[in-house]
Amino acid sequence: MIRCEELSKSYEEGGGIAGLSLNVAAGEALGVLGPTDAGKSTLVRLLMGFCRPDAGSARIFDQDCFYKRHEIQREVAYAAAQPAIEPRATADSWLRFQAKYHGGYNPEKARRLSERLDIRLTGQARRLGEAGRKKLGLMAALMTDAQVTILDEPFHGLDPMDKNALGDLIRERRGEGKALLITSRVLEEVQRTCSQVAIIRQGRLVLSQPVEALALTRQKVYHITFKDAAQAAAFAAEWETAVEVIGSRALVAIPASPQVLIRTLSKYTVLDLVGGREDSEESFLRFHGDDVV
Amino acid sequence: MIPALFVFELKSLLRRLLGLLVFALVMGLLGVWLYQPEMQAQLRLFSEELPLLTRLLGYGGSANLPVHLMGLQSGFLLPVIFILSAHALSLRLIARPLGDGRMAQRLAAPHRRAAVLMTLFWLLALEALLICLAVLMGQAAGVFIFLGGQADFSALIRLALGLMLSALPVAGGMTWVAAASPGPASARRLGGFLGLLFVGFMMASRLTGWPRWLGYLTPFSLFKGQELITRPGALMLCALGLPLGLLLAGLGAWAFSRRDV
Repeated sequence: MIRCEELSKSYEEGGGIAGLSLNVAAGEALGVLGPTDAGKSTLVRLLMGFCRPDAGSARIFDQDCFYKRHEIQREVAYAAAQPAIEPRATADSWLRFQAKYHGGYNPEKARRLSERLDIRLTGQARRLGEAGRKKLGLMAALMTDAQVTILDEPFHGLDPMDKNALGDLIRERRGEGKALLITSRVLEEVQRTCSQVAIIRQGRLVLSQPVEALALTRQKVYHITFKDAAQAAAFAAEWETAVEVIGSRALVAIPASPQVLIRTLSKYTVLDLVGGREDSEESFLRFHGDDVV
Repeated sequence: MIPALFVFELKSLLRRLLGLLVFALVMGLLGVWLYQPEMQAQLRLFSEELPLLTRLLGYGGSANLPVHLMGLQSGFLLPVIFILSAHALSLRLIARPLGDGRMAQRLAAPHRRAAVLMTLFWLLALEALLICLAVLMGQAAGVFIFLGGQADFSALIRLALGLMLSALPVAGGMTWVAAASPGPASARRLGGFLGLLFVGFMMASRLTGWPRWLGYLTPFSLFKGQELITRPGALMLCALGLPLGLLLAGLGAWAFSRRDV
């Protein structure tokens, strides 16, 4: 349903995306992970037809997202990272307008959503607070029956209860055979709600795979204590990659079998060897290095 | 034209419109109040003491009520009000929403960008129409209060309608500026500059020694007040304001459809 091929967009002030390709099929939820300014929002803006790509193509239902945007939008639900809501409008009147404007207002569904997301629909939107406005934007997107849903940082700024409710809603939508694209900075949110994950860094796709496969890409980390610092340094010189030496201790990260490590260590006097698999968050951090905020 | 958007934006404008309409109503009423003999004498005195300013403002005497009102209101005050209100409204409806994300929310819907922009243009046009109607109602009330109901109402209606039609290119131009500017600040600057240019050309063309063709660089050159008072057919020239306004708004829609939001 969603297909990007070699999609690129750059801005004068920097940022954007470069050569990004991804696919989201019906019944799939793709979580696009990345730190601030990684290019997640640019990807969303290109898919929504807000801006024109410099190169490559962004297509939904096999139609160009920029030139056929008004036709695509009939079947696309969208919630911005920071929904812009008329401050004087009441939550209820704004939702009714959104429904009329977009088409397909289901009052019963709206009522159920407001209960699940715990939104008070009376009173002016400006009195709702940031989280309230966020939930209102999400509600406007989720109350439609669109086949494609694009949510920009939907979990950011919500409290844990609301995050759970939203996670359930996303999974339900997936179950209905709809395609979802969700951006996030937090791996756990994507792991809980999405079937696929794409990690982008500085506008480039670093990794794209099913969420379950993420566990297999986690590296094993070994803490090795040598007899002295000289041996640790000699080992580091021999091992070369992904090794950090602190005095007589060395820390090594390896993605595959430890067989080669054991063979190498046999030449040295090893006092202690402790191994373990890095957790998901460490794995995510490895992809992003210092960019994560 | 998207009815849901038109109605929603109109509702959000009600408070602003109400204030503007009360002001226009009072202005129409005051215009007639100034037509009373003692006030006319004061106006004559003022125009004799400051002939340059009077000419700049477009006041041409008080031969009859329509001429008096045309000089007092249509020569300077109403054109400036139209420019200011169109500029402010285009910023409010187009430029600021483009900057704060509300326009992106509008565009995340199955509507062409051109349709969204033209809907907002019609709101600008509606504001111009309502201002004219309020001025006319104020004038009518003034005629009944101060002049016992004796006036050439058809001439007053033609003046109001003619001025409204002449204001449409301003609405179209401001729509274009707001839709094509990279941000709200540049839209404010460019729209303000355009407004100043219109007023400047309009006033300069009235001065002796200055080329009269400068007046044709403003949309208000379509408004021929003297002819409108005497000849209903003069409205045809003002009616050109509608296609001209639509053309300018259409150019704005064209630019808007191609830009990044």
